[in-house]
Amino acid sequence: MPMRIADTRIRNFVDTQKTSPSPKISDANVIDLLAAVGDGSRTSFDKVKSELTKPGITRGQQFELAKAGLSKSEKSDIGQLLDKSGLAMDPGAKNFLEALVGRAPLQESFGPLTITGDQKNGIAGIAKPGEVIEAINLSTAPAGRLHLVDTQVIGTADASGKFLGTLPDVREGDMIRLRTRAADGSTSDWLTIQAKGIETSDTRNAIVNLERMDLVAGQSGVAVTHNTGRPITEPGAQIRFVNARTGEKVDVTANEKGSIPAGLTLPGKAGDEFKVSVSDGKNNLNHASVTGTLKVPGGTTGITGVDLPDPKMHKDESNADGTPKFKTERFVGPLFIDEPTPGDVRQGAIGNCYFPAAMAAVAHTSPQALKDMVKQNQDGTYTVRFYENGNKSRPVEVKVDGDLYVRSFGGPIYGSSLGGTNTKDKMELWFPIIEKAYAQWKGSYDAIGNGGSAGRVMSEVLGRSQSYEWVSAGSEDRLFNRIKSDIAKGIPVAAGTHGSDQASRYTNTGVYANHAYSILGVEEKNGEKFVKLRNPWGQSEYGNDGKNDGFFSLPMKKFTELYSSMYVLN
Amino acid sequence: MALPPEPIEEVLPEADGAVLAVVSRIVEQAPQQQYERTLETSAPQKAARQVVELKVTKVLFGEVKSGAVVKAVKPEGAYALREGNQGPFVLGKNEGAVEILGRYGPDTWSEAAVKQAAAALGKR
Repeated sequence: MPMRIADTRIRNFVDTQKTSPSPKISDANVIDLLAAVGDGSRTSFDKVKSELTKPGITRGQQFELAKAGLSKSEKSDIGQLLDKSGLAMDPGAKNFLEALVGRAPLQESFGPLTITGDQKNGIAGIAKPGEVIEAINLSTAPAGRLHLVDTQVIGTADASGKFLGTLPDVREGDMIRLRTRAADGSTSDWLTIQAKGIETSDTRNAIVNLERMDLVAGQSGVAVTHNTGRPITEPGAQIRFVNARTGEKVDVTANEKGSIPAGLTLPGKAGDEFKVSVSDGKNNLNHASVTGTLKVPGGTTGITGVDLPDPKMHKDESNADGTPKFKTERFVGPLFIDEPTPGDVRQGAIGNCYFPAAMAAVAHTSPQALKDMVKQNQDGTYTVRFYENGNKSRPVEVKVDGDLYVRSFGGPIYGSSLGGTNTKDKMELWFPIIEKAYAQWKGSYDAIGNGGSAGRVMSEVLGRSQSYEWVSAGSEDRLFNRIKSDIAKGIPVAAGTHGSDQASRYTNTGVYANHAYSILGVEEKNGEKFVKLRNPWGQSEYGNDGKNDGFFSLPMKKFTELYSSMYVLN
Repeated sequence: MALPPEPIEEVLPEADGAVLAVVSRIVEQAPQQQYERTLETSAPQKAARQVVELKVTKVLFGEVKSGAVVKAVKPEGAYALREGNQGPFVLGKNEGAVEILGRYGPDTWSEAAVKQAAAALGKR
């Protein structure tokens, strides 16, 4: 039987659709039907339509507006539309009509997250209305410092659940990871798709981030690990490791998080180098293009000159079996570029502030003593002399090479030099070499990296006995005069702040608790006495002189509030 | 231990937001171990855990609103907070609670450093 549509607007809607090149009741035009149903003697079609398209309106509210005006004949018209029109319908539009005639409950949403079509014009799909769509490009993420959850918001699902968004720099074949986030903060499961329809073929290979991988030699080979919170390549990519010494190769497939499989061990030993390549299954299938080389810490490969045992790392940078988490590199820069100065010294990521503070203090008053204590040998090693217990008759000579532990993204992890480059062929070496020798003498970087006394170091460097002054209110003049006198005589001075139990007095002052500073002198300005100090970090200071280089001047009164002890030599 | 501040690029990927804020209230203060006065620095000491309220004055990135009061955990570590302390607070989440990131809290990085690193990571 033909349709007999009573409502003029509904009949016109059907007629219009039937003459359309692509007839369909869509999520967009179903609003006209809802308005046609919702209007009545008291409310016009235009007013209802305006209400139906208000920003933020939910499907449930749209349904109630239409249902409020639904007459018996309109219900019959909608039933005929569903049964006899033959028109295609979007799922959301069809559900509206079925709900109006009582054949189905209204669905508030059409989740879970579904991606529709290709990505030629962006990323389109369906989620629950109002949900935010978050996405990350797993093919490009490994090149940055991104975690798997460092997503970008690409869009919000509209009232019908549809969304369309874009991510920058998406290429054919890229792996895109998406999830939804509801208003209450809850998130959906991850959905990973491979971008298509953007280019005619996938010509961008996967990338692999070598800086995130650590190779550690053990009894059964070379263990490969990395922080699995960050992807090192895209899911499914094949990574190839080739041992440059033996030619043995190992292929592994990255898991869904872009991580290498747990427990991966390569055939090799300390000092070996591995060439690493990657293929996404479409590009670099023969692994002819090599991303880079990873070196297993230890061994002697690539070392110029004598290779001496290195002091063990601090326990925070060591594996459970005592092996280092970081590799070493041979530094071959000049021992001294010019006269040693306090500004050369930079504390590394180790709790030995007392050591760089002492060394910078010595550099300020006795630079020649530093030049005298360290010698470069013909075989590329260095001999550093200390004095046991500050006793000049008991010199201790320590021989070290130029290998320094380095961060995966470059530069020494422990002490380094400021004021220039920290590359291995150019960095000024006197401070990191003396620090390494001190660690060697005391047993390890761990032995020197859990606190100590700047006075003791100054004593061991210069061969003089040490002493100290407690700093307290009322001692300003006495301390001022002592600093002035000592520095004039070329005797280094340093200071320490109070312990961490008094840390709250330091926040926002620019001075830090449980920390050592070099004292570089005193001065008087407008009748007020100041002490000149330096933070061994080479940054972070009291006041704001616009430089943030660690050098600062502090009123003596403030000095006695914030500092606990002053280290002096006899 | 008085280690230098961590490179912000290492911490920011863990962050959900960063704000300029003032410590408006200390909500909880864990017992603080007392240490004897010593000549040693960088000793293995820690300032106790605190829970504080931060009054947000400016949002650098994240979904926090300016003017909001955020309850946050200052973990056991190298610094402690008092009412009135202020500066850039980088915030993350730890077991559902908001946690202040950075070895020295508001004294770890400048506002400009946080903004620059956030922009480089596409955090808004």
